[in-house]
Amino acid sequence: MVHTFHPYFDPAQAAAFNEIAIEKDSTFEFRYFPLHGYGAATRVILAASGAKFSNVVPTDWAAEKPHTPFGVMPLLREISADGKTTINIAESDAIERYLAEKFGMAGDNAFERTVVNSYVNNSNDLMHHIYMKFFTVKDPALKAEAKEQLLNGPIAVWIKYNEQHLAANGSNGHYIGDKITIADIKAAHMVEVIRGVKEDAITDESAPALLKVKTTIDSIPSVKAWRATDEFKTFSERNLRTFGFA
Amino acid sequence: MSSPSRETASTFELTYFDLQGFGAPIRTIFAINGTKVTNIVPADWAAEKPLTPFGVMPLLKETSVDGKSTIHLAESDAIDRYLVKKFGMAGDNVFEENIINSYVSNTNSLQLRIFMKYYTVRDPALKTAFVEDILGYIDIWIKSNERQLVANGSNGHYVGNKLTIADVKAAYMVDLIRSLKEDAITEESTPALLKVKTTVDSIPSLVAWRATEEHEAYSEHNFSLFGYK
Repeated sequence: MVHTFHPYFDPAQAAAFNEIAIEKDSTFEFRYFPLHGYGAATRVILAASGAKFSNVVPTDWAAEKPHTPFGVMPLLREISADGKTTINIAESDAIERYLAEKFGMAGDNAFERTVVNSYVNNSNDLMHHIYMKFFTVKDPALKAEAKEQLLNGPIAVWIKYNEQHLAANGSNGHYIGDKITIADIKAAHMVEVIRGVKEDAITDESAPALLKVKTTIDSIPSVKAWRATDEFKTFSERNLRTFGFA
Repeated sequence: MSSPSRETASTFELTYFDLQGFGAPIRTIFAINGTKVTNIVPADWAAEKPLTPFGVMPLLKETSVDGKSTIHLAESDAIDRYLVKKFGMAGDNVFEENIINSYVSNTNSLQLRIFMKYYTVRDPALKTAFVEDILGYIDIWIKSNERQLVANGSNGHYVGNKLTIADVKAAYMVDLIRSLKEDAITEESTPALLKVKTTVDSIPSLVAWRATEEHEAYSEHNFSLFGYK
C-alpha cells in the first residue's frame, strides 16, 4: 500500500496549479491511444483554443498503467510558457472541464455554466451508453439488438431534444447565444459517434441544427487544420478498425 | 443568476422516480446540508416527458426565498454540480476542484460500468461473466482511492479536512461494491474507504433523512427493481 499522494494530487503543488490553471499560453501533451474514442473532444478543445498541443501515444502502456492515478488514459500534461511549472490531469471529464474553464468555453456565468453542464451531461450519457452497449460489444447478435434499441431509444431521444434546444437558439450552430462552448464541441462529436452506429441517423433532413453545430465546429480554422493532419487521419483509421467508425 | 446560485434558503423540489437511482446523491446533498427538498413523483411521466428539456429525470426546481424567482435544472450531473457549488462541497480552488472532479469522474465510470454491464443485464450467464470483469475494475478503484485517502491522513476525506462530493460519491460506491462482493470493503483491506463511509453516514441530518419512511420506501423500491438498496 502506497501512503503518499499520487504526484498528480500532491497538495504541495496547489499554488502552482491554481496559477497555471488560468494561463492560456501553456504547451500541452495529451496522452491517449492513437484513435478518437474518449480523446476526441479534448483534442478539439485544444485545437479550437489555438493551444500548442501534441499527442503522445505510450510505447508501453502496460508498464505505464500502474503509475497513473487510475490506470486509464487519457492524461493531460500542461507545461507553463516559462517552462517552470508542469501539472498533470487525469480522467477525460476532468480534463475537458479544466480546459473548458481555462479557455472560456464553460459558460460565462452560473446560468450559462449550469445550462452547458446540462447539455454536456446529456451528451456524455449517450456517449457512455453507445460505447458500453454497442462499440465495445463483440457478439454480433447482441450488437445488432443494441443497435436497434439505441437508434429507436436514447439516440432518437437525444436528437429530438437537442434539435429543439438548438432551434430555440436560432439553429446558429451554438447552444448558448452565438458563443462556442464545450456543449457545442461535445454535440459535434456525438454526431460522429451516432453516425458510427448508423451513418444516415443524422442528416440535413432529420437533424439540421445538430449538423450545423458540427459544421460550425469543424470549420473553426484551427480545428479544420487539426482535422487535416496526417495524425488525425491515422486516429480516424484506427478508430474505424477498433470501433467501426471514423 | 450569478448571485442567486449562492443562495441556500430557497425552496427545492426534486422530480424523480420513487427509488434511489440518480435521485439518491441529490437527496443526500440536501440532507447533508440540512436543507429540505420536496420529492415529487410524476403522476403521469409519459405525459410530462416531452415537456422536459431532455425527456429524463431527475429535474430540480428552485424557488427563491422571496418567492419571486424560480429556476429549473435538468440532468443529474448538472444538478449535482450546481448544488455542490452552492453548498460549498466542490472544493475551494481549481486544484481542489480538479482532484474532486477526477475522483468523481473515475467513480462515476465504475458506477456506470456496474449499472450497464451488470444491474441492467437480464441474462444470468452474462451477469456471471461480468462479475469477474468488474471485480478487476473494482480492485483498481479500491487501490487508487485508498491511496489518496491514506495520503490525506485517513480522515474520511479526499481533500483536506472538508466534506466534498468526492466523499459522498465514494460512500455510495462502497455500498454498490458490497452489493456485488460483501467482503471487498473491510476494516483490514480498505480502512480509509470505510472511514469515508462512516464519516458520511454519521452526519446527523443524513442519519435523520435515512430514518424516514420516504427514504425506506425508495430503498425498497430500488431493491425490488435492481437488487440493491
